[in-house]
Amino acid sequence: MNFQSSMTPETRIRRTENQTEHKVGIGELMVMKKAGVLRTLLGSCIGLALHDPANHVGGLAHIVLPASNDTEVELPGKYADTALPELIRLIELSGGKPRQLTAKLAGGANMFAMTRLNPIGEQNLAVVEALLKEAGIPILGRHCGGKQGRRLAYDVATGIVIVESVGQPAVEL
Amino acid sequence: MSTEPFTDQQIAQLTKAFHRGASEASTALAQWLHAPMSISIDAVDQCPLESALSVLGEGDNAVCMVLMEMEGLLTGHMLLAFDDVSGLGLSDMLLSRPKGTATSWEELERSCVMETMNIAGSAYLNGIAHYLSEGCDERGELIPSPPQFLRDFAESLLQSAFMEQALFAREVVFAKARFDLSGQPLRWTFLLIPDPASLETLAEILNRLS
Repeated sequence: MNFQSSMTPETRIRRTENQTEHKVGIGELMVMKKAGVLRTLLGSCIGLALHDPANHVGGLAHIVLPASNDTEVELPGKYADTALPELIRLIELSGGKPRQLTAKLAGGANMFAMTRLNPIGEQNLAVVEALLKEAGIPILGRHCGGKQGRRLAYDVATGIVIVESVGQPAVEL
Repeated sequence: MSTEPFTDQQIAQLTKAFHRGASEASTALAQWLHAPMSISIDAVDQCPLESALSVLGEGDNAVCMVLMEMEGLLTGHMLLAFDDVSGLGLSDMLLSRPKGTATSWEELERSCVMETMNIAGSAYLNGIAHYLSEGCDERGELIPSPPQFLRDFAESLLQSAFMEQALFAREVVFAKARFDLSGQPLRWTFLLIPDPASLETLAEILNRLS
């Protein structure tokens, strides 16, 4: 493995002078309108980007666990069952239309091959996909599973999602 | 299952256990590397998951990690994280090569860092087990798994390392240690992360030790 060249960033999402970028931390979600890039880092967590192409509104959630189990939730983005409705609600508040939304997903890796628990990444992915199906939101792209972490960038203006992994070429969704 | 945060008294006892582990790991590493080595506990920390994810610095830095699982008295993860320069430098040292010889992670370089973790981790666990056994009815053992080498984004690796604790508690608990070789600080970070079942066991043992 040559590490010198492994981190070359993909440039399909170009940084411009006026472009706003935000990092979406673990368990957080964020919505933007017209222009901007939302970024997050994923291991077993799922990055869920919802995009309204007609109104150029979209959001990104960094989902950690499949279900909130009806406990008091401080970070709605943390659980799949609270992240999706909250993301839709915030997109609607920003002028987006729920029926026009499309989804792109990344993450859900099982990085520690020896771990004793059922892979939480697979559980996260299964729940997010089921919830999207239930909400009638089509999944246009996904880059999920495997054993590697991912860096995700979502361009709100175009809906393009770029996924990078260490030592691998970037992938456009 | 849900886990309660540790009290200050329990954290103090846990710190003593980790110091004992660090002491035994220092001795083992000094023999392995043929150089004076010390490991000091920076912190036994209990903090929200979001804060713990920055323990290795910038989240999107690529870091190397040698991971071991522990079994026995406690279960969970033990890991040694380092940047490329530090890890490859270690392999040069172990192979008696001029510094800077290794430039990429081939089989030999990986083997060097995994064996180093094997030695340090086993000694560390022995030290902790000796200390905690004083609070048990029977002599407890901590057994490490074979090491696994990973190279990935720092934050992605830490998400996975803390995930089991995050399933059951708002705060995560871990010990962080710093290595010094012949008085020179190395950029190696050693983390010990008990799983949720162990946190409950640990709390009982620590209460008996207090």
